[in-house]
Amino acid sequence: MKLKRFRKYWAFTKGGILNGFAYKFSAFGWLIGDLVGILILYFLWSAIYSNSPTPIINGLSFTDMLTYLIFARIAANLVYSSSSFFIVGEDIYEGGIALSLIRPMSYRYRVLSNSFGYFLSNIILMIVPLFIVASLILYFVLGVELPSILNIICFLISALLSFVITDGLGFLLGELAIFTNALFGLMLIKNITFTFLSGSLLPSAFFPEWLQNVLKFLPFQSMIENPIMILMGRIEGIEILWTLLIQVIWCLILGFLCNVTFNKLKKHVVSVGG
Amino acid sequence: MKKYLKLYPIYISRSIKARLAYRLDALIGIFGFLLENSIQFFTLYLTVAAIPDLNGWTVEMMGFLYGFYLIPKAIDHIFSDQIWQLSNGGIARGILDKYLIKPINPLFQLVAEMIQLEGFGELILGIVFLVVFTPQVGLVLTFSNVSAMILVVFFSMIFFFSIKLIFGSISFWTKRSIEVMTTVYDISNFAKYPIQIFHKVIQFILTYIIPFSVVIFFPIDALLNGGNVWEQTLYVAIASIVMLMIALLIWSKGLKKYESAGS
Repeated sequence: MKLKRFRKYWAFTKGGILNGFAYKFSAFGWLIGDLVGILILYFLWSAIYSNSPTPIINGLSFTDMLTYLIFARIAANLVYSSSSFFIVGEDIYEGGIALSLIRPMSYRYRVLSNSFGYFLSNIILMIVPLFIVASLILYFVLGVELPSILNIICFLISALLSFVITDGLGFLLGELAIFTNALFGLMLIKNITFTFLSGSLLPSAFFPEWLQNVLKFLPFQSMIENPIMILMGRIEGIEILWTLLIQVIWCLILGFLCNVTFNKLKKHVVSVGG
Repeated sequence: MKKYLKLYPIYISRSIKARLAYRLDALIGIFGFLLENSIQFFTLYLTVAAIPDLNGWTVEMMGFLYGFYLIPKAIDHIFSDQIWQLSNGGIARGILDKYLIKPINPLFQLVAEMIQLEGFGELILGIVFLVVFTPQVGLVLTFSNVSAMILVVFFSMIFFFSIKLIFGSISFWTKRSIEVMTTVYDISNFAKYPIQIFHKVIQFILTYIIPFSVVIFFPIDALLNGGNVWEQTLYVAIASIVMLMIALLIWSKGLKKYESAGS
């Protein structure tokens, strides 16, 4: 029974994987575009550190900073690849949601499993190869230590939780499509706020203090900054468990919020007429 | 020519009406671009604020440069956003069919088809930055400075337009070029920073191959650090006009190759 339930969702995951793979060349094209950004980062930060009176800024040396920013940029693909925002948005916009509601399965889990498929294809096509290339380049050029196996395993667990968090937030925002059709504008707003607050543009140590305090009570740091800090070995020992626990709590909170809001929204969709 | 001057306002008003049919959507789009650029600048601000200055450039000067960069880009964004459709598989879909059957220049129709209100987000922010940072960098607005700046904005706008048209027109041969186009467009981000911080090869590219720094950075550098502004303005004009000629050439070559989608 349990397995059967799982299997019907797996079909959507598989669909997501195949869809992701179908666009592999386009993914590759965006990758080259990313290089421009990384080049700018490299030169900007070299100049920043050479103009700085101290070799360490906000607790990070130049190599730390560069490693962090490159990893964070790669991991930020996770934010972009979580597709539940678009799945929900388009379902509402085009009325496909009516069909989904008569299926004997939870809509939230269906979207999550579909989005998980995209996530997997992204991991295989972009994130893993990029991490390997980036680690090797950093290792040979700047002498940055390769992450330990334990760190990698903890990072993978953390990244998976991070995906669920990101997806939950995307789902919540996608539901806004009931009020507006401006999915492109919403996507811009979502992507830029998520990338900034999650620390993929700049580690939160650089943020003003009030913002750092506010962020402690929000899920964003669990999305990018904490997983990367685990990978870099800057979060260690018992702190790793603590970080993972916070992520699990956010998964539960967001899961709950998704269910509540979707149940409310469902009634609204019916009244519109599909 | 007279015909086009008469047609343009008609196209524009129709397009604005179409966009304003969904007021909230338009506002969200404008806000999206405003927010994106504010956060990008805030990030830069936090970065540079950690040190005294970046090769002689203070945070305020970089804010001024950022604001100036946004204005020509925004104006081009507002008026010719439809060109992105070429690279986004539009050629394969046959979007040019409807232009080619009318006795009006197809490039004119393509550009006039849509006013992209979202660009106002960048434009507003650019103006705000200039207003805020002009007194802070101690710039004196003489008649000569202001008129040079207006000319630079005008020519840089043409430059952005030409870059888009060149890489959009590649789609006549490749059917799809949005990734290349986005990458080249992203190179414009280099112009937001003092060119001295980059490697010599990149400096060369930004000056002679895809001269984004020539049309954005050098004039501002001259303005803020006491160079010859009018000399730089001349270079901006030359770079933009050359780029425009290349763009129009590639466009017209491509158009001859265009085949309808055949549906």
